[in-house]
Amino acid sequence: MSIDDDKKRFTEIYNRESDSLFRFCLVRVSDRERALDITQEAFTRLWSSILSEKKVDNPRALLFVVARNLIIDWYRRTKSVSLESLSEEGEREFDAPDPRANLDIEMNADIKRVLLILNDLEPQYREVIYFRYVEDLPPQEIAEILKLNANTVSVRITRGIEALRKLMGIKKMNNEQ
Amino acid sequence: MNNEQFEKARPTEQSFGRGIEELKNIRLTGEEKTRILERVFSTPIESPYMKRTPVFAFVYSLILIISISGITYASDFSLPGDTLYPIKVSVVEPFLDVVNSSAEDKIVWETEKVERRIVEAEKLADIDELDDDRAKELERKIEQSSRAFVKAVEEANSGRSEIRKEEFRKKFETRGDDNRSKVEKLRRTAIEAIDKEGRENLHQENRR
Repeated sequence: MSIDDDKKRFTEIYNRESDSLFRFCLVRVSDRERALDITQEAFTRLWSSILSEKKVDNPRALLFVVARNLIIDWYRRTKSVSLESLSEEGEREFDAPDPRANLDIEMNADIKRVLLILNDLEPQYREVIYFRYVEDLPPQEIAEILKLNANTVSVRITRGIEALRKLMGIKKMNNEQ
Repeated sequence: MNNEQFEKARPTEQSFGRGIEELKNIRLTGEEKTRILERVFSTPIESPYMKRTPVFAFVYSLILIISISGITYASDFSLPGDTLYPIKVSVVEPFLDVVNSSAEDKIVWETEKVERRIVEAEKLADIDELDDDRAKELERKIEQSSRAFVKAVEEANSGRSEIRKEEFRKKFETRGDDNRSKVEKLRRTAIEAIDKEGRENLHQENRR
């Protein structure tokens, strides 16, 4: 495959995924320039993988994994993260952004409320709910990004919705997920 | 509404749904999108092959050097008839012939070669494998080295006095004669051993 073919393939992926990846980063870091940097870095790594002819079965999952790790590293560098919270779980749990910082992003009241309530969720539910309802990703793909079992993701989605309802003061209804 | 009041205000199911939909509309601007793509394509990315090449080259070179050194070292102990002996006399020693190019180095090297052949003959005699062919071959090699030695001595002394030149020649001849007599002695020992064995076999056959 020529470099032009690679560029064409990459550009297609970029056009399809750049907005959602940027959104994911912006919601997490609450800083537009930082989110742009992380987005660029994630795409640079994907481009590097394509050039080195590494097999990339799911570019979207790869982009989110890279971005997620970059954000975690960024938090570790810039914020004081307790060692306890890092070692609590084997998996790399997502660090919660400062909810007040989110308010500084140019967002309307509804978005801010959504982010605030998401922030009140337990970290293990926060990410799955975001990926499922904001990025519309299926459990299988969320599992790939979070390096979890698809069943675990489904369970977390269900429990996350329950927790959300509780937080919003909505009574549980039958046959709802 | 201040921040605290805002935080306490719970979203309704409708406002939550609206918030999610609006969240989905957060996008890169056209300018940002173009800028990131351009930067990604202009980022110098090191080719993984270039990254690996020096490592491979180093590993292969190391393996090659170790192998060559090992074979060279092992061949040093080989005797006529051994698998590695041709490497010793046809590869390693000709290489050292080239390395020792100056007359002085050649003198030392040819002397060493003669000594090597003598040691080989002695070792072969010790294990009763110095047959006539091998002895002749070693003798021929000693002669060759002797001639090369004389030539090197002449070269080295071409600009020196005749007395010095004669001194070198005498030294070599004494050494060469000594070596030749050693080989001759070894050959006689081998022949005697073979004869003795032959006589014993004949005697045993007669007794039967």
